[in-house]
Parts: sequence; structure tokens; C-alpha cells
Amino acid sequence: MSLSGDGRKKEDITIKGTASGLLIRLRDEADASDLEELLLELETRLQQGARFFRNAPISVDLGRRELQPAELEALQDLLVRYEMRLESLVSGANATRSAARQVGLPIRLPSLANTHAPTPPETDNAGPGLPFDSAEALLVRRTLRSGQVIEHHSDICLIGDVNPGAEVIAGGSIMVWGMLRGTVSAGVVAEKVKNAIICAIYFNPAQLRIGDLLTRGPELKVQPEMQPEMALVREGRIVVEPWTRHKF
Amino acid sequence: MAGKVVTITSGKGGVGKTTTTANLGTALAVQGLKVAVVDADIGLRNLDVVLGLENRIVYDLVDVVEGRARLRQALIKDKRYPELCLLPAAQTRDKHAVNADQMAELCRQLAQDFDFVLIDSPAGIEQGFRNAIAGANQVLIVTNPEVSAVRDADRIIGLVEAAELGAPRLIVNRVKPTMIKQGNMMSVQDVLDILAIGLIGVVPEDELVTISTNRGEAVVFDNYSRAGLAFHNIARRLLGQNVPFLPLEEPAKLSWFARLFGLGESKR
Repeated sequence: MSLSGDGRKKEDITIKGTASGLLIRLRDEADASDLEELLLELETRLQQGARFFRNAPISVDLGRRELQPAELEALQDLLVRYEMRLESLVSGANATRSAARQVGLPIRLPSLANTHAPTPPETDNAGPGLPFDSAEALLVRRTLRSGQVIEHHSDICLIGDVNPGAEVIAGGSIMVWGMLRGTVSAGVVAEKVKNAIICAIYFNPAQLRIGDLLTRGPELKVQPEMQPEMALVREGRIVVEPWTRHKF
Repeated sequence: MAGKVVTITSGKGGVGKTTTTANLGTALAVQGLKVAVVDADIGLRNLDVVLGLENRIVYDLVDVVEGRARLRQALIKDKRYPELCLLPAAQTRDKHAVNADQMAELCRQLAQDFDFVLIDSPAGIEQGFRNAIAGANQVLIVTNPEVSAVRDADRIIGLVEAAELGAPRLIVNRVKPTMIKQGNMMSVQDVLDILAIGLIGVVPEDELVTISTNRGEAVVFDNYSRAGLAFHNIARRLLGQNVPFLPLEEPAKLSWFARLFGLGESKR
């Protein structure tokens, strides 16, 4: 999975095609060039293939590099100059993510499919190849309205409501401290399906998915009782149970 | 033979495009036709809610265009009429996620499998509207008897004519006969005088529309609904049948009786 394998020549910029468009990866390791140089190099690369890149949907993976809003704007300007559409930034650094929010750029957290593992520490204990930030659950304190999406490679805990038309997508489990009426997908990351749960104080999702399994909310709009419930996979099916019975 | 692509648009928002699309689609399916309704309002989707199919959405129009799903996978069968299918819009994207060429290609593909493809256009005259008419063979304009709605309809008719999509036809929606009688509302004739295009339907204001919309059912299933009857008639006119326009006055108290004995205007 690691593309920054030791034997290979380390390129600071890699561009590759993915299912959702092109992915530009700016290397973040300590020995990589600083951003200014990277942008210059990127410009050269873009010049060479200007026609190929025009109108292409682009994601930029910044790794754990910490960028200031002005630096993000510089990056965006560069892409705009070459008529590329920036679909999303992928960043494993909190500082960069909040800078992106300030600038108004769409950001995504790194996911298994779309990120590289960090340079392994010296004491590599050969555990399962989890991406960086693997232990990082995301705490969100807001209400998700129709059309808004939160996506995270690990668990998501949301304090607020998930309205109809909103979507929560988590590598692991989802907990909603509020009303769940939107669409939720848990266990998107294969290794985490087994333990993925979805729970909410008021549990009435339009649709819920755990791994490959999918189930719909009730057809008739019966108002479920106002009680916490939890969905999990049991014997290959999604079951929803009142929270009270559960002891972990 | 390829089916017909009909776009329902209005310029102004809130005049009843989505309600019209849902009910017209259902009424055509009741007539035994294969119908696809397409929500072109990317980012503000509604058609799925009005049809009560919201919780069945797995893939949407943008997924199809961007190749994440095949068209067949994204189509959702209606609860009552499996011959009626919905292609939902994406809610998390915007109008620029799709361009006019892609939309035209999508319509072409749908027209191969369906007799009718109804496109629910977003309000406005920008990209979303351009996409919605990209693959159309015919355009229906929905308006209300209000100056602002008529003004916007006029603008849209100009754009449709400029796009050389043939003569659009008009649906006047939410007509209130009592208000017209008192001289407080534009009459259908007043609207026609301004817009000067062919009329295909007049839909009276009807509380039953609100009720059925909230339930996620089409009002055409309601035998007592005058709006439902009006939509059935529009469907038949779309099929080329010559159906007289409903009298706007309300003989409502009589109509169930008449229908019981097969008198008056039959629905099917």
C-alpha cells in the first residue's frame, strides 16, 4: 500500500488517475521540498500536460503537511490557471483542514483507498497496515442539513442532528447524539465492518448501511419512539435494537 | 422506436414543477406506459420525496454521469407502478456536476427503454435549466396565474424557442376559480393573452395536493381530487388524445355520483 517505499526514487509530486478523477499527491516527508518549490515543480508538470489536465476533476493529497490559508489559495490559483477543477483536498493535518475551511475549499480526510501510509516508525511492529490517524475518531458539533456530508475514515461522533438528505459516512462506527433522520453509512473501511455500529438518541434514518448491507427506514412514516437505538450486523443482517439492552 | 423526452420547467420556483412531473409521470404509467421521471434539480432534490422514494436512493444521476453506477442501478421503481421509474438527483453536489452534453446523452439512453422521459427542471435560467432542456423533444411550461410567475414563464418560453426545441405548451397551475370570478386573480385567458402558446392543462388549486405530497403519493390516485383529474387529462393530451378542458367551476359534490355511474369525464 505504501507508495513511498524505501527502494524507490522519491518523487515529491505524483499524479495518478483514480475512480473519481486525478489525484495529485504532494509528499510530506521531512526530506521533501517546501511548498513554494513544490508549487513551482507542479506548475512545470502541469505546463507539460496542460491539455490533458484541462477541466479534469482533481484531488490534492497534502498528507500531513500543515498549510496556511494563503498557501492553499496559492495552490488553488495554480490549479485554476490550468483550468482544473479542484474537487477536494485530502489532508491528515488539522491545521490544514481548518485553513481549508477558512478559504472555503472542500476537504476530505484521508481514507484507506486514497492515501498513503506514513513512513513507518523505526519500531515497526508489523501490525495491520492501518493508515495514519487510524485511532482518530472525529467529533463534530453541529447539525448536518440536507446536502451536507461528513466523511471520515474512522469513527464519527456527531453532537447535533442529521437531517433528511444529509449523509454521514464513516470507516468505523457512527454515533449521533441527537436526531438521526438522514442517510448513514458505517463500516466503509473493510477492516472495521465487523465492529461497526450506528447509534442515535432518536433513530429514524432514511437509509442505513453497514459495510455492504443496506436497509431503509420504515415506509410508513410511523414516528418511532424517542428512545436511543443502535444498529449492528448480526448473522449477516442489520438489526436495530433499543440501546438499554446493551452492555459493553 | 425511441420514447419522448419531455422537460417540465417554469423559470420561477414553487409553481409546481415537481408536483406536475410526479403526477404526470404517474398518470402516464396508469395509462400503461413505461415512464422515467428524472430529477434534474441537483443539489435541491425533491422529486424523490414527493414520490415517497427518498429512502430507496442508492445511486443518483451524478453517479451515472460520472460512471460510478450504471443507469439501471440508479433507477428506482415506483411503489405502485413498476413501469414508473425515478432517476434521482444528487443532493450533495450542484448543477455544475453535470453538463448539457452528458444530460442529452442520458436522455437518449433513457428514451431507448421508456415511452416517456419526464425531466423535472430546477428553477432559474442557468446551468441547471440548460441541462434540463438539453435532451428534450418537448417542453412543458408550468406557471401560476400571478404576474411574477407569468413574467418568468415568458422569459423561459423565449429561451426554449431560442434553443429550437419546438413550441412549448403551457400548464396553468393553482388556479382559483372563485378569486378569478371576483376579479382578484388573472384568469387562464389573461395568462394565455400574455404568453400566447398552446395550453395543455389547467390545474385547479386543491388542498388534496398538499396532503398527497406530504404522504409521498401522487394526487392522481385520489379519485376526489380535481387537480388529480386535471393531471390525468394532461397525460392523455400528451398522448395526443383530444380531451376537453375541465369546467373551472366546482361541480364537486356531484362528481363522485356521476363517476359512480360512469357519467361525466371518465378517468382512464
